[in-house]
Amino acid sequence: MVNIKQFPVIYKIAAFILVLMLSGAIFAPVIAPYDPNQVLPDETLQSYSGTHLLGTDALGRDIFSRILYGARVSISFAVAAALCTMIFGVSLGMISGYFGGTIDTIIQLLVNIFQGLPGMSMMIAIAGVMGPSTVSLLLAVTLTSWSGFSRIVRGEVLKIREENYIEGVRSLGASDFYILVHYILPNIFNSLIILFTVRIGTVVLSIASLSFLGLGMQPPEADWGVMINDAKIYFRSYPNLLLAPGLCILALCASINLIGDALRDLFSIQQDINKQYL
Amino acid sequence: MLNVINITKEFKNGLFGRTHTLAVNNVSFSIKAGQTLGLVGMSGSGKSTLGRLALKLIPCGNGRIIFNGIEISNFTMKQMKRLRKEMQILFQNPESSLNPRMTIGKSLEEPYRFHDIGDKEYLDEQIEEQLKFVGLGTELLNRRPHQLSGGQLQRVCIARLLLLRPKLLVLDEPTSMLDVSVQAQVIDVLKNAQKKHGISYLFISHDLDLIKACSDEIAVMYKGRIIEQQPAEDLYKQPEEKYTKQLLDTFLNF
Amino acid sequence: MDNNIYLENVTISFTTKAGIVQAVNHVDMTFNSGEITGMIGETGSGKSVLGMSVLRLLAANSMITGSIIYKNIDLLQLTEKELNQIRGKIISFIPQNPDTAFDPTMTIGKQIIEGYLYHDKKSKTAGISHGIEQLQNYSFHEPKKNFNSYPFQLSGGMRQRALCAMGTALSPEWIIADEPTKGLDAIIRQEVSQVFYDLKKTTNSSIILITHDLRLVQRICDTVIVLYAGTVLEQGPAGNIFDEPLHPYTCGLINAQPHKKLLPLSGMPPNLIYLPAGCKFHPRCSLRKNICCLTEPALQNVNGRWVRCWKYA
Repeated sequence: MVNIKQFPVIYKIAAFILVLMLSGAIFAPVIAPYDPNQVLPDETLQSYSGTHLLGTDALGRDIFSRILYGARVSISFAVAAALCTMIFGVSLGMISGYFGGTIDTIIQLLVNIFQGLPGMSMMIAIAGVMGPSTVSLLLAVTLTSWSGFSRIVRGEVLKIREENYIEGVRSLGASDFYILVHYILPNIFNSLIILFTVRIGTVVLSIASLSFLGLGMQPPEADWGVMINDAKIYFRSYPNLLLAPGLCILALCASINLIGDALRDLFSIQQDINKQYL
Repeated sequence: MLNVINITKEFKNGLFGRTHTLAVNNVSFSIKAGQTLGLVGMSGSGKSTLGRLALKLIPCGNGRIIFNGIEISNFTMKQMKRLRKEMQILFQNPESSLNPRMTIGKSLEEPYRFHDIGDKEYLDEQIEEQLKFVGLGTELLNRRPHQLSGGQLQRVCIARLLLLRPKLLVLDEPTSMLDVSVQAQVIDVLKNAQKKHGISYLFISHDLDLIKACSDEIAVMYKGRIIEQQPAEDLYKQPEEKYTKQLLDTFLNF
Repeated sequence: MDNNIYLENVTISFTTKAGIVQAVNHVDMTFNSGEITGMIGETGSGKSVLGMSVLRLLAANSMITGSIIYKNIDLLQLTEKELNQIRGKIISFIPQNPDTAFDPTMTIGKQIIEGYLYHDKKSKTAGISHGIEQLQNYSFHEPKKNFNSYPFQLSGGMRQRALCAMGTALSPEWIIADEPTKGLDAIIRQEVSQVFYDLKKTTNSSIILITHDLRLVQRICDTVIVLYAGTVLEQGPAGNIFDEPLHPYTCGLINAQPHKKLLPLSGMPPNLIYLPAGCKFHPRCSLRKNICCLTEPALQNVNGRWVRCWKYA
């Protein structure tokens, strides 16, 4: 059906990088040469060497091991947060767009309120009030980003709501629930994939920012954002402290976005004759 | 079969609903069982709206609708659901009439799913029978709508509607997007279906020749009103209204 | 040197994931200047593709071989720059679907005179007055107001007429109109046919009308070309063809009309990737013989017309 060989090279590279990161994360206990939290006071701030592939940080912790374990935290949290936001945003967006009327007005009111709130400050406030923990972070991220999602989804639903096939199946006797699940959802799927993958990237960055401010994952948890935070004092003299986690975040965001593009192309039913590789 | 009395539909647009458009203005008509009423009018005459009003796909405040002897003017959506089997609509654009993400097979199963009729075997049998009736084969079942031509899609839609054995079908310009030869094929299928099952048709179109070839009676619509309704032959021989004469002129002298 | 357009052995194909779509197959045609030539055929017959190929307006994955000769120049050999001098000014194309052919964010007037300002390098005021004059020619009752309107503010029929105004703004020698009456209701169709009829009478333009609307062709065309699966099946004066169609396909098309017998043609147009051997119409032809399945007939001259059918060979 699909000729994988003919996909553009960049998608294959992206997939490769993602798989690499995921394996690193999953097999961290096996691959990591050191315990990520093991402090080695004699080996602080070392550069790349045989014993420490990516060097060590200010407390003598092996950066490579921290990257691997950090991948677990960063990736799993990002996916979880993106999923929460999606579920919340998509359901409200679909209901709002499909039913219209009073429900739409109420939900849109909520959307406007939430969108108007300053994201970063909200996150800081929630993390501050509930204490920095995974749950509070999850809540913070979801509450600040569901509204944008919901708005886009509502737009997509409005586009297809008046199509003949929706009217047709309704006149056949379909219930609203059936239409939402089988007709609306699959037809906005393309946009959803892109939204989801972009969201993962944004979440990673948000968490990194929060960690940078000290409100995200708390040290000694090896999250990439925390690592950047730790590196901020030393990075001018020891850039390797920053390079590794920074590049990892970059690679994760880029590869996920590209995979999102590839998935959207794959599921698209547009008969685009210029798409030679599908 | 269908009796529509004094229906009016107004659309409110603009800020606070200030602009009122009178799409349908105090219209009445009736269709006998097994017969075809052709509804002819130009764009903007309100014929599509009238078709949907007759099926209660658009809510209507006033007027009366009597279907098969039952007064449905005040029926709720729930009560209508049971009747939906018997009154259906066929759309103008076959390419947007089916869910683009579903295979043809799945789309054809839907009528039975909604009304809980029969088991899987019966379903498959019926689908195959209807596909054959419209002149298509079962190899289409696994394809998606974008892989079929306009004429094939329209016939699939007809097959889907016939599965429910409707008594009334509103045909909203069913062939205006199709080539002339494909149009003839689809009309053929519709005529066969009427002969076999005794379905009543409300045939909406702007093509007077087509309506004449397919209808028993013709109603001419202009700016939301039915200005003339006569048996097909009589309309051609003795049009009463000036607008009707103008329309006939367009077709005969074209 | 005449103003005819000659197509010599033109073949157009498209490369797609499913295979090579043979849209037009070895077509030889002459479009006579001073006439309205109608190209009729169903969806997939290759008529739009052929029309667009004259000005090389096809997609990137198309391959055209053969020659299209106009005033002793092969249009297929020109560079883009040279072609741009011809597009709109000497040969103009009126695309399908007036609803989507206009840019919704620009006023009608601006779009109509766009080509005019580009080619003739006139001042803006001259352009505007020319545009308003054009609208007047096309029976717009309030040309100044319509000039400044946006596409969505006009009705379907008005948009189609505006599209024609755009195509003829530079008084080109040739106008290629692609499905000008598709989806329009009867009264507007009559208006549009009047527009083309007047065009022929009042200007020196020759017109190629691409359509599957047989009644339009019967009404205003001088010559008719019947296309099927990218091949010419019948060609000749319109009156003759409609009074006495020779090719079985032409007969079938005419009889399928609602005001005739509304008789369907059996079968479906062929898959353009896997064309049938022999005569392309033979799978659907009730008069087919053995030879029809094996060899494609050549165009025969029968009573001043050209027919591609073994019945007349």
